[in-house]
Amino acid sequence: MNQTYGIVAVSAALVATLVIGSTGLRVSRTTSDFYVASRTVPPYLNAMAVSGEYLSAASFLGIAGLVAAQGVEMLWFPVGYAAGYLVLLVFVAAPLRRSGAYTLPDFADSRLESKAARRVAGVLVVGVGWLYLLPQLQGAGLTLGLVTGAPRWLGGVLVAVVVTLAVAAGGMRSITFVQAFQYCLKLTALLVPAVFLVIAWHGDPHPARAVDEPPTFRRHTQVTVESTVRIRIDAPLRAVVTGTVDGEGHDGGRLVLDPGVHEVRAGTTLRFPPEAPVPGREGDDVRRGGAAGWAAPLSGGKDDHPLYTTYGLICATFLGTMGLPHVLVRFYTNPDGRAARRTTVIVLALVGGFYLLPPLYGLLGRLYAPDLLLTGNTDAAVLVLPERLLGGVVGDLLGALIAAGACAAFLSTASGLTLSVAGVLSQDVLPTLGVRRFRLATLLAVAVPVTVSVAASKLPVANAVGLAFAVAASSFCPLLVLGIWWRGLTAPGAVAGLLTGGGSAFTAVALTIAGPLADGWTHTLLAWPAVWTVPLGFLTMILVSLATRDRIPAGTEAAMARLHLPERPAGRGAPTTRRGVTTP
Amino acid sequence: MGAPGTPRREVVTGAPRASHRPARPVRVHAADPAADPLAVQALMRRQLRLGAMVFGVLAGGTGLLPLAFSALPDPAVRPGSALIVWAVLGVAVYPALVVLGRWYVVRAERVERDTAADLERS
Repeated sequence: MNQTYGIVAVSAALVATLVIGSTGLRVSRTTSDFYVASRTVPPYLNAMAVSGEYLSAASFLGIAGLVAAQGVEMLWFPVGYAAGYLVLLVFVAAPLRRSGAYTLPDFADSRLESKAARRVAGVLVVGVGWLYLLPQLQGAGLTLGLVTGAPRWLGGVLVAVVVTLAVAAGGMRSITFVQAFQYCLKLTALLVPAVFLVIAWHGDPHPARAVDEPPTFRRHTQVTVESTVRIRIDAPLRAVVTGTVDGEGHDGGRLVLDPGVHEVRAGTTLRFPPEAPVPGREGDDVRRGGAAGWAAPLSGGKDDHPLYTTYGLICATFLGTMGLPHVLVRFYTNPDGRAARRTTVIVLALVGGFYLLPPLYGLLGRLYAPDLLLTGNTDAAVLVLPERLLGGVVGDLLGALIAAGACAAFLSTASGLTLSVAGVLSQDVLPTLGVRRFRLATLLAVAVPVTVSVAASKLPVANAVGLAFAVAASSFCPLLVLGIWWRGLTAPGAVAGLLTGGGSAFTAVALTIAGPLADGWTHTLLAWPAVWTVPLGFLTMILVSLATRDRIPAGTEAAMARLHLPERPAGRGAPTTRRGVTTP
Repeated sequence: MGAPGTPRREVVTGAPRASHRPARPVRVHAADPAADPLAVQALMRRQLRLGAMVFGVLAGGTGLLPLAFSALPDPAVRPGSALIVWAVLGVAVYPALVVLGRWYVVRAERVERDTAADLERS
């Protein structure tokens, strides 16, 4: 990738973000903070902002990478990310807006009148936020590393510093415009190169061949292995090797690799002839077995229970979306409950439209960048494709555009998450921190995930996001759904449910990341916990609430009226969406 | 930006409430004559039924897909089934979600209009 173009594009994305952030502020002076802006943002703009904040590095880079590596089964990820908004729409959107709650702890507090529920929700928001920040920083490291040649950890740290400064200085105040712009940037950055790529591909090789046959190198391909891998070879394979294979040193010598497993040391360069099948990585999450593995429609990775993992994925993403702290904040900026619903439908369309693109990149990545399958660096597929398929100045320019889009992806999500986590940290978790110490909280909000992402850099981006969804689904989904639709919910019930559901999902996630259990049913159950932790959360919340029926908050009736009655009778007075308009 | 009249910068995460009044007065609705609890209950029941119906369609539709896919012929034996999966999961799902969401919004707003009209009449 041409580094000059890349650096220029990433800098341009940064500058544009800051410029729109500050001019948006000048245009609408009365909307200079969230609170006032909240009443005035029309649905289409707000929907663009929600989508802009939601489409993260996992959507932009991760899905294509997963599809390239593991195949059509991974299409469940974007489907789940989008369908989550439908669940949010039918159960949560309008009542949540009417509750007036700005964060999840706010909601717990105002609905249950309990400080304890507020605090527990706060801790969980921080946990989910950190889990979700992790893959953003890794995506940042990957992108900036490819663009500038910097080491992986440096990119993540750099973005963390930028986000911290922006959030702590309050430099992103007119955030609605910024996020809406970033949605447009992300869509453009995938759509325009996709048009060129599809023309260059023009259906040859045929898509059926691409999905059904094992990947092969299309021309002489040189692959440098960054970290030691074990590769599995099914038929004798010729390669020119410089480095160490199976403990033997080679210096540009021809080598015929026999079928079986071989160890390739870090730093080794392998050169493969055209039409050679791409060797698979052994012991990786990639399920091997050539075409059958890739084209299988069920999620699985190395697990042997694809049906269960698919349902685990569906469960986590469908129900987890409503519990993501940065998404929820944006719903408060709707003028009223009806606008919140309309916003959500537009979000469904915007997000769904975007998700048509990453799988295409995954497919092309498998055809034209198969060496990534060997190095395991599949998250880079989106970034390298223009260079591989088009080359020349066009390839460089489009590659730079994609890099700018990726930059927007992790910046928007990371700043939104940081803002949410820092807000909760300073309000609910660390007692009595004032405005001044909000900055301290911001620092803390970023420092933890940065440290972890530097330490544990091997988690695939979209997988880590899946874990964050699982925790959100098993804690906040029960809280929101029962809090909105069931009069019987009590504070002790909510606290118990949050702790049991969220806690068990957290434990499962921690065990999966730490990795003491490598295989078998236990591993599968822990890696995809939502199937059992969501019912557990609901059940605990309901049973404990029933047991503590005398603790039903006194204001429940009033709260229910507030959540469910429309703000004003429809068809009278000015249309609600334009009430108090101050934006241009 | 530093011009006079610029509102002061504030942290807007919402201050924790100092004390808990037992029942916070409901924010003023135009049609809020004591917000008849029975009417609220009826509204909630209708909205919940509607929401559960849409959720049921979603869960039924997508929930059965993995089973349907696992019944497809093994791609190693008969190529092409992956393209069917692709057409469904990669493309067809998204318009369906939008249509379902739009239908829900129309119905939910109708329910709210009915309730508002009832409240006004009473």
